[in-house]
Amino acid sequence: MNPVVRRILSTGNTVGESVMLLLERIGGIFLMMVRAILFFFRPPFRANVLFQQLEFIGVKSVFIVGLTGTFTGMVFALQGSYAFRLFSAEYLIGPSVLLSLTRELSPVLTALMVTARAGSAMSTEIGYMRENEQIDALATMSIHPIQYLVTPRVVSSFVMMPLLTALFTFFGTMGAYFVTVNLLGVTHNVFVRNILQMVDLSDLYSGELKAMVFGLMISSICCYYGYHSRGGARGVGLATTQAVVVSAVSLLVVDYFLTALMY
Amino acid sequence: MMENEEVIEVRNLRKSFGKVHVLRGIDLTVRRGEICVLMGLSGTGKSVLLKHILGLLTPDGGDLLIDGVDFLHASRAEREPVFQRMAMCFQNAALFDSMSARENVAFPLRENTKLPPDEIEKRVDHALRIVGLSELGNRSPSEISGGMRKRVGLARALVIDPEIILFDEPTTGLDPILSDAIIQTIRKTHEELKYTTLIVTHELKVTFELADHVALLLDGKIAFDGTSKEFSESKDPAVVQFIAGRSEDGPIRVQ
Repeated sequence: MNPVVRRILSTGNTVGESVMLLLERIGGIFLMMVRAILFFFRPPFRANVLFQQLEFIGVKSVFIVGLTGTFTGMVFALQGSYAFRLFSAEYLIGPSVLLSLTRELSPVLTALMVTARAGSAMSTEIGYMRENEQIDALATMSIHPIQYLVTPRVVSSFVMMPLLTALFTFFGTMGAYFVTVNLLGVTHNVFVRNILQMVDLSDLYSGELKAMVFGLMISSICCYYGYHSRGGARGVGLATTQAVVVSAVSLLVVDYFLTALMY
Repeated sequence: MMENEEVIEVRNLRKSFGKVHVLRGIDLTVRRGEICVLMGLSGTGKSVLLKHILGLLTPDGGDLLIDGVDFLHASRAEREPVFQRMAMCFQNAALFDSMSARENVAFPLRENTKLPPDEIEKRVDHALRIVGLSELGNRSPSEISGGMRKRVGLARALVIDPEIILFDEPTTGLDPILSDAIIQTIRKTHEELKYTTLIVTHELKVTFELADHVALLLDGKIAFDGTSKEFSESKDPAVVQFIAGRSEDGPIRVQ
């Protein structure tokens, strides 16, 4: 065969294989999510395992979400003030921060924080359990590993992500209020009135909806990579890296499409 | 229950991973109440065979019957009762580190039975006493030694009162005294509870101390199948080489 043709064919093969692998991954992650959700409605129901995850993913993320939320709101108010001051439109700082928070920043940044904190832990823990035959041990006790390990994590993320997002928005608003009112000298009334005029509940809902989708996504992705990790400590490390990177990238991609669909 | 009844029947079982043929047609029968020891070099597919019996892997071909149930064609509902009577001791004990060692032993009862908590506690105490760990307390699996972990793993298997127990390398990685303690624990519990046992190991001491029945797995096939006495007296060059533990000077080649 002509070497050029062979080269083209082999490149085609490599591309084809990568595409197949990507599709296989996406399919696998989606399937794991669906199974995890279906298992939630099937007995046995393990409330204690679910509450452990609700606590780990939700309650223990409160501090970090509050902290990042506060500073995000503060920096947005500060940045906004430079631009709005040019047209003496400081009254718009509040609404612009609030709109960015509710529609985009809160769900996306909360999801990134939850991925970094809880998602990486999910992937590592499940990966280690796979490595250490604990997942096999569950299966030999007639306990479905997806129901026992993945379902509580996916459900907890789904429940906790909207709550954490709301918290992020709350702290972000407080941060923005502090900077705008206390440091930049906009009055309390101007800040609050303009927000009430320009920000709708629908803005809040759309962000919350995104948060639910993100919650399902990141937990499924992180559990998937942990569940299928291979090759000792290195394999678990690699699985966690992939889980975090894939979660972060796909969050932003899906966020674009959700936004395009919503507004 | 009938004596001499086949509990685990493996017929012509084949499994490949990619181009590596791990099991090339395994035939093995384990009868009720006996201790069958499956020997072989490290990495020859002994654990792969165990994983087939546990339903964790699906073979490429062959048959697998456990307690008369055709495992490869039976539905999940038909296999479930057999799984409930079967327990496994993993090589590294595979204790769940999200809970204490004691909770590990209670776990199969909490999950699969409707026993009241005090009855579960009683059975856990009993299982821990059998393996010599009455004083375990509330320590987590990471706080106890490897030998203790293996014994907790055995207690977790015994607590459901199984008819079949599978062991994956029960003594590997332990010092000779601790190995012997594990062997004696298996012997004692087996005498008391009469479970059917398949032990996968490459340690001869386990075989000579415990086995009623020995099988030797070489190159994906059963190279020897007989009683413990037949095994130690065998003139088969592979068996002789395996028992003598020589890397050269025989048909077995190190890969």
